[in-house]
Amino acid sequence: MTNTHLTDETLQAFLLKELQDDTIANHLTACSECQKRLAEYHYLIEGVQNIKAETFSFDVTSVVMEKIVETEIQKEKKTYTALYASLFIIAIIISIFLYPYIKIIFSQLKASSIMTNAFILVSALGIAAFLLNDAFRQYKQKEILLLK
Amino acid sequence: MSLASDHLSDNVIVTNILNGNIQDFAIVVKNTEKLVTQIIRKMTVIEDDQKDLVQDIYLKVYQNLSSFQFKSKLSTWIANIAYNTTINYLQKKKIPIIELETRHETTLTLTVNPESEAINTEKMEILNSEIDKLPPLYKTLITLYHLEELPNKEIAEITNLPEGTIKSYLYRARKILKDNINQHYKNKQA
Repeated sequence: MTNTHLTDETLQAFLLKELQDDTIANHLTACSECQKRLAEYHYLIEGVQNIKAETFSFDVTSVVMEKIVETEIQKEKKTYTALYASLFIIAIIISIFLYPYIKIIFSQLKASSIMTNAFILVSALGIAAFLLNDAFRQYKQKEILLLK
Repeated sequence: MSLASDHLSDNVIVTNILNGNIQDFAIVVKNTEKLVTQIIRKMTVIEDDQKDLVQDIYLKVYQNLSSFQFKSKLSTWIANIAYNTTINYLQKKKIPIIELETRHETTLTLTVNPESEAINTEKMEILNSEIDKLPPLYKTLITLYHLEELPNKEIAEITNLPEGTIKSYLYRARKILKDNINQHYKNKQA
């Protein structure tokens, strides 16, 4: 038996069963000072374990899902903005390449009957309207899905 | 639940989210919010910042979900993101994560026998107040180990600290707590 008291580390390790040693147990039986310190750690750990887990004043899930949906909508918006910007750029590029042929196209259109021109114009507008409507419908569907 | 079954359910949820079922992310939040809350609450006190941190952490989780490799539990991976994000926040605010800002270790003098002090509200208040005075990292480690009952290995994965360091910090934190509580009773009696 030694007169040296057990270290705090040893006492904690013994209490948490990280260290099992007869020498420690024997010392504790004989030493009231170490018994007292062990009891202090025992009450401390017991107290810590009994502390009520802290919570937030706000609902975590709602706050997080709100942010996630907002981010997804922003992402969708960016995607569509990029898509329309790309289409616009492509249209400009096509226009530049078609520029030398504009006179020929117009002369061809002039040569055609009013009915043919009207048919081409209506078809072109119809296709454009269909594509835009489809893109908008898909966007709205995703928005509804995200907000569900 | 075993690690294998944890991984299985984690796998199903993660796959669903990655397939576009965003609402399944709410399940992930529900399953991990307690652990994330403990980490944030132990390291920060400003409520507005806590709210921002919660959103920031889960947004990072959502955006990086495809990079989760199932090497650990999903909750451990999320807790690691929560820990790192909160540590970055503390560093930006120049708040020390380990240095003691308040009282240092005091002499071991027990003036009131803890046995005579029943576990009552006052005792818990004192304990809570002394825990609050600990450096953010010590508070977090104490909470993860004693309240969340996580093993050192998992705490090491969350905090990126070696297990030995965690043990050593925990010993130190408990000693500081015990000494400060003793000092508290000593001051009260004097």
